[in-house]
Amino acid sequence: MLSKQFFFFQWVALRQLNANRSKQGLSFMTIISVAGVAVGVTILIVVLSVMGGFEQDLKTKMLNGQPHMEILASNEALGFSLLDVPVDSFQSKLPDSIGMAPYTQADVVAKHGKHLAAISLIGVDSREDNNMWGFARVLSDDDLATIDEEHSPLLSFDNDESKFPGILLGEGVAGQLGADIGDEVTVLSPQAASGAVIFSGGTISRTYVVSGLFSTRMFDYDSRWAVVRLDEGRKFMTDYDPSLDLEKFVTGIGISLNNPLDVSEAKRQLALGPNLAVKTWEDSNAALLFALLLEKYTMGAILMLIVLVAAFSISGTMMMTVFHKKTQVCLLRSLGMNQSDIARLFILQGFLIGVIGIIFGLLFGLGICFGIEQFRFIDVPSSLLSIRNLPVRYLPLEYSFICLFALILTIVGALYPAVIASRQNPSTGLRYS
Amino acid sequence: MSQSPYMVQLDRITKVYQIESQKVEALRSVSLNVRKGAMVAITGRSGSGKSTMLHVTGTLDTPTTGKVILGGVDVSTYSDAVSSRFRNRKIGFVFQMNNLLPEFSAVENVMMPGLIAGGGKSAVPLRAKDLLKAVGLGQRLNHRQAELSGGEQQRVAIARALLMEPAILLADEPTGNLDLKSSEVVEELLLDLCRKNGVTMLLVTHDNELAQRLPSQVVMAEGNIAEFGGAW
Repeated sequence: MLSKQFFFFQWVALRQLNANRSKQGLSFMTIISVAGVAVGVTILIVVLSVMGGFEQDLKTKMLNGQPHMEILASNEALGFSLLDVPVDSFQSKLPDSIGMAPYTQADVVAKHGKHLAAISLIGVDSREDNNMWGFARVLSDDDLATIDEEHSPLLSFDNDESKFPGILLGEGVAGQLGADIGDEVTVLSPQAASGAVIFSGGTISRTYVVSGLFSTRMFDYDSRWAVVRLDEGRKFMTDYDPSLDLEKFVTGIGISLNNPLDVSEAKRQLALGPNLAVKTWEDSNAALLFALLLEKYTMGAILMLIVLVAAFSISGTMMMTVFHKKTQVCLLRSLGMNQSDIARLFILQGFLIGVIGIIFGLLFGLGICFGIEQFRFIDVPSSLLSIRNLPVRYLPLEYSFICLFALILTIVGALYPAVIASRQNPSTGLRYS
Repeated sequence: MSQSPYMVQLDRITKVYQIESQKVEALRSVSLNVRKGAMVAITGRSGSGKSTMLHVTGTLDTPTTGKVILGGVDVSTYSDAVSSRFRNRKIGFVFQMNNLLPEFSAVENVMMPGLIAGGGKSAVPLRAKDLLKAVGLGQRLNHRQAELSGGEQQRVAIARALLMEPAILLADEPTGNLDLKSSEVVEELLLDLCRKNGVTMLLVTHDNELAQRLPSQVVMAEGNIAEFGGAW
């Protein structure tokens, strides 16, 4: 009985919406209401899909740029010994891992001629699987192995035949320093303790020869990273002394995972002791990820205002309908509809406007997203971003929220006219029609 | 409906409208008893309270004081939902104009009370078609209001008023907007169908000739019944 009545009300509501073709004003207003909802939903879908595309692109670069997980000492700067914490000890704990390798990392200053750059110096063992690092993905094994070799600078003075270890520079770093392959670069460590200067015999400043350049297409990495071999990197660790070489000290162990998006589960599986800590790619990029999320929701909320305006339009249209169809409402009351039935009828009309608008909005929105994705008609200046076209990511969950929220807004927009319609005195309405 | 001999009983009905700061007394202690199956014409000048009395009787409006007893049941205390259901099942209306829902065809208009009541899929359309045939509109089932003449619209309204087999039919100047020929057809139809179906009818009219054709008459003046005529 309930469903039969529901379909009856839907039928009456649809007829009333579809009617009045002769009264163009009212039909036009209904079309405007539907269009308002459709435009709002379309814009929301397109904007959120493109933002989702950018977010995905950025995340992919984050995941391809640095280890998904890093095992660090509780005091990150001090590092730990691989003799105490061997790499193998984690492999059984993390069945999802697809690569593990130790590394060192230190904030240093690079100098080439008169140019200085603050960089992050990463020390890796080129024989290990270093694919967790963005530079390792864009460099061949041979290129990476150049850090193990000793190189002569292209330009030397006074027939100096000194050789220096190789260093790989991000293109941004190379640009800041004005350095190219074969150039001599001096690395200084402002963090090194004074003891290190005394005991290590010059660890605070070392010279390298640029043996390669890399571009991960992530500005943050390319403008900050330089890569040397592991034992060279160790020399820039805080409080370095030669005993750290014997004890195989490293800053951390980088881990790449099969499913990096489920990194918290892998973090839970590790269950490290008190002297070690885990940093995931989400921790490293927490601020950026939060900013992306905030941007997405703020944009969503602002664009939802378009749908809110459409809901106001629905409310206005339906108020017109209430006054326009006063006699018909009263006639329906005389035939046995009660106040709730009349309210239901008008809410259903709002619901139908919403549903039709949402369907059109979904179709247009997804159509535009498909067009952007397939036909790539919107180019992005390559100087601004590493991607050539607007990226699109389909977000079914977000679309569901958009549709649901739009539907709620349209129904809320129909509520006031529905109440006004239901409270009309049928006698007065019929008498003065 | 109870065993009371009266189908309509109005017991000291008053109706006061508040128009801005002014109170307008539309009905002043109106009392009326109408037997089952009776046909009563209500006449009187404009503003005498005829339509108000009809609407109060039909539960479209509530009295300020007094009781409306229909078929022995006091309906003046009913909630909106209950009085609407009662109206749907027991009372048929024919108004002077704007009787039809313009978005619906003739047969859909006639079906409307049955559909509101949640009537069966096949029974309601079948009865609606039969009634339209009975009022001579068997060929115009799918015509909409704009495609029907005034007389035809009133005939559709009569068919619709009778769909639920009501005990009471309230007609508010059903021929007021029609030409003479159409008026005659509608009058004849209305009286004939009410007689055949044993429906109690209250008919408001300015037409004295029509009023005289009904067995009982009431003349209203200044919100009260001024005169009774015919058989009671």
